[in-house]
Amino acid sequence: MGAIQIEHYLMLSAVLFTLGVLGVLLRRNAILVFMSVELMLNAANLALVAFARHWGQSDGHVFVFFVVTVAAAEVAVGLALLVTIFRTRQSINIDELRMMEG
Amino acid sequence: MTDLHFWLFLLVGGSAVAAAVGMLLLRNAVYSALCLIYIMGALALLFLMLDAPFLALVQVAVYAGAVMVLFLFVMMLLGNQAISAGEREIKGLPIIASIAATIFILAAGLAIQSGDVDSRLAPAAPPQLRVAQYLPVEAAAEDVELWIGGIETAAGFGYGAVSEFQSLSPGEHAISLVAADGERLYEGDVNLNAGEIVSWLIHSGEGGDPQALRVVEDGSHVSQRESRVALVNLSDRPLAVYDTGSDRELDPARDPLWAAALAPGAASEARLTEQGSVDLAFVDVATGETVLRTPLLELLGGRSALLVAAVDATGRTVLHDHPVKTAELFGSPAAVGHSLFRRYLLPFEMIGVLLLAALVGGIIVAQGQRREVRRRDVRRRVTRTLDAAVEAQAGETPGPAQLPPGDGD
Repeated sequence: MGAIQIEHYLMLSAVLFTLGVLGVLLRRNAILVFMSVELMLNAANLALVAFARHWGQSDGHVFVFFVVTVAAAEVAVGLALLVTIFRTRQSINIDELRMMEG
Repeated sequence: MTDLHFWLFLLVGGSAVAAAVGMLLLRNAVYSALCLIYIMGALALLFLMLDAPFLALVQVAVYAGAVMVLFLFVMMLLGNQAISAGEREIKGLPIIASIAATIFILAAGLAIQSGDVDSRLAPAAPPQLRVAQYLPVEAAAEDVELWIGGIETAAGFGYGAVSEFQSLSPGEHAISLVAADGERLYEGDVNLNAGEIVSWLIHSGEGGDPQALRVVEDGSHVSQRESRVALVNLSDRPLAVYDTGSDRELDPARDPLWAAALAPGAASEARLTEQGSVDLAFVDVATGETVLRTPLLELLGGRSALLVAAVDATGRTVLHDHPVKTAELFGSPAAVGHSLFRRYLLPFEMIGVLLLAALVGGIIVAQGQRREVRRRDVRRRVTRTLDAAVEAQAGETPGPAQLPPGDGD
């Protein structure tokens, strides 16, 4: 059991990803849904870094860099939308946001 | 070492999973955000353990710093409702989702365990070859062509010339040196394996017969404070190499020995030494005569050097320095930047455009709301009657005589 292998990291990544999916499915608060999406992205990043280490190639690091950037852009726009929705609907419960009209 | 690594992984990974469960279950969204910050920090630690120091810092700065601060900022902006809203509405979903999650984790674990991720090898880089010429004969002085695998690689390949590194396919390649009059000075085959960096040193062997020495270079990372040096003896006698140190006086009893008896046509093991200038003394083992001194030989940091002592056409022994570019440290900012600005330049530019679009989008989404409110505000102010305005200012209803003429509406 001593040596640490890529499988350990992949398993941890899978568990974190699943917890992120559960967060998206179970929580009704839109902010928490967003945070769960971030958790899923991070789990994917962990798998990418583990594979980059395994193959000894830094391409995976570049992908992680891109994922971080996209996540930052997504959060900026997503939270701005959330604030706007809250101002018009006075709610961020995603079950109450079924109607598309303002 | 590996044991420590394993326990550290268990501690960090386990606490990250616990924090993720906490994020899922805690009612208060601020606590959930704190849990997520903890997960980001734990992942940064795991990145460090996976030789990705640059990404670990990016993780802390961008995720734990910027993104999570943005989350908390929005939570505070929206107030109580945003923090506590989190009721589940669909009955039975938690149970179904938990079962599905367990099945997914089991399937993923099975796939990871049974897959042959570990047994496959990374695709190796193509072998690199360079050729250096040390034939101390008149014909080899100049106007020599170097042919590798039937292709003319270099012209004017005289004594002491070194070709650039060539990326070749693994396998046998024919190398020949052709003089201006068509005479073949040297012919030979080099066998290259994948991932190797080979220097092919052509020299005159013991009987004056052209021979080649195959030196496999070490292109792995060297820190900026150190230099990796390999010595090659292409003279006709065994040599001992001393580092004379700062006093520049050769003292065989005291000075550190770099190579005890380097046979003719042999290369020493590569050794790491501090960067800076060194003064090497090459001593003939048999006679004790110093054949070569190298005052102020500069060894650059972060580089691999091949020092070749060869006899030139006049019979003197001369030292040639052939540097080898070394790889950047895996996962370092330099390595990530290298692939970011070379191979992934276009995606990098597109990411920049995406960030700009997100910036503009964020501003438009927030701005559109505010402008609408302001316009409504303005109209209300304009539609107020003059009487009401004066009343609000003076505290009493004005009579018509008190108004200045011509200022009716």
